[in-house]
Order: sequence, then C-alpha cells, then structure tokens
Amino acid sequence: MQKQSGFLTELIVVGIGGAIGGSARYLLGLVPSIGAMPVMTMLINWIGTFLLASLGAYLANRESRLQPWQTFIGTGVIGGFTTFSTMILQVNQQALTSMTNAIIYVVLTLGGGLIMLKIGQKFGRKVSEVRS
Amino acid sequence: MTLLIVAIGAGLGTMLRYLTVTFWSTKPQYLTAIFAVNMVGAFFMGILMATGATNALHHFWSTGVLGGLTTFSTMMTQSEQHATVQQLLYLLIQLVGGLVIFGLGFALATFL
Repeated sequence: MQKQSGFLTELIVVGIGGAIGGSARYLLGLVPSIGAMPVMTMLINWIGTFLLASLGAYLANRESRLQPWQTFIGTGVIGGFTTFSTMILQVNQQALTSMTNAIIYVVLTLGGGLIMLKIGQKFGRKVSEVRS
Repeated sequence: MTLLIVAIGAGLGTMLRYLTVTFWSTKPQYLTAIFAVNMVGAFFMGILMATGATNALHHFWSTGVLGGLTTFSTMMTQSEQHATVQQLLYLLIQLVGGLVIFGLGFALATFL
C-alpha cells in the first residue's frame, strides 16, 4: 500500500481547496460593506456552514461519486472559505466603537450559523432522498 | 497579485489545519483539533492587529494563512455532535476563548 504518498496527495489536494476557498473569501471581502457591521464575513460563515452541513448530510445518506472529494470540498474549499480568526478580529474592532454592535454581531453569526446548520442538514438529506 | 498571495496563504493554512485534525490523537469533548487551530489563529490575529499593517504581507498572514487555518463551518458541524446544552457550551467556549486569546496576542505584541 502506498499509504504515505496517498496522504501527501490528500494534503496537497486539501491545500488547493483551501486556496480556492480563501480566494473566494478575499474576493467577497472586496465588496464594500453596507453599514457599520462587517456583514460579509457573517454571510461567508453562514453560507459555508450551510454548504458543509448539506454535504455531510448528503454523503451520509447516499453512495456518491462525490465521496472521494469530501475532504477536498469540506475541509479544503469550505473550511478555507469560512473563518474564525477574522470573526474574532471583527468582534474586537466593533467592541472598540460599540459594544452593542459587537454583541449583535456575535449573536447573529452564531445564531444564524446554528440555523444554517439545521437547514443545511435538511437540505442535504432532501437532495439525497430525491436522487435515490 | 494580492489574490495570489492570499490563495497561497490560505492553502498553507488549510494544510496546517488538515495536519492538526489528522494527528490530534485524543478525542476530547471540547478541546478538539478545531478548537486548537481556532485559538492559535485568534492569538496570531491579535498579534497582527497590533502591528496595524495593511499591506500584501498582512493579507498573506491574516486573510490567507490564519483565515485558512481557522474555520467556522467545521466548528458548527462539529458542535452538532453534542447534545443541545453541550453544543452551545462548545461554541461559547471557543467564542470566549477566541476573544480572550486574541486580546492576549494583541497585548503581548503591544507591550513587548
């Protein structure tokens, strides 16, 4: 078995996925934000959570050609797309001017993320049912 | 050009996250590999913020490496493995931990 080289390939593939996800996040970040809140990072984290939850639920319910790509798409692209560190940075930046905004931002990000998680799982299951 | 720099950084950060998740031997309830990379990312983000730079090199580290290293989506899906109360606790620990450790990084870089 070529386990060692298999892992190296996987590592590089995941890295390429992360580069794609990170680039998408950077490009979306160039869109001027409306209002005082960094809405884009919140949207990115919501969308990423939805996609990752969908993917997980879909692949858990169905044999798919997508299976070998789960790490590339999930850990790589989606994992690289969403970010924890920038969210923390933005909470701090907002806390400097408005503590209320900082708290609203955190609650929205986490609360919305939890909702996206549920919707994503439902969506992934639904699609797998329709397709089988 | 900045896009390329960010892409390379995000690729490296993501690989580092993948390695951490792969070699995180224990399966603790709260102190997961994702928790670890998120804390490390928040710490260095604090240091970066203290430097106040906004050039391409800054983008390489913050948007690229740290953005790729840390993750929100996996934190969310992973939290789902817990019952509701533990799930909220898992997220709260990361959030508060991230804020504290960010401040630590910021303070360290500012005062040292």
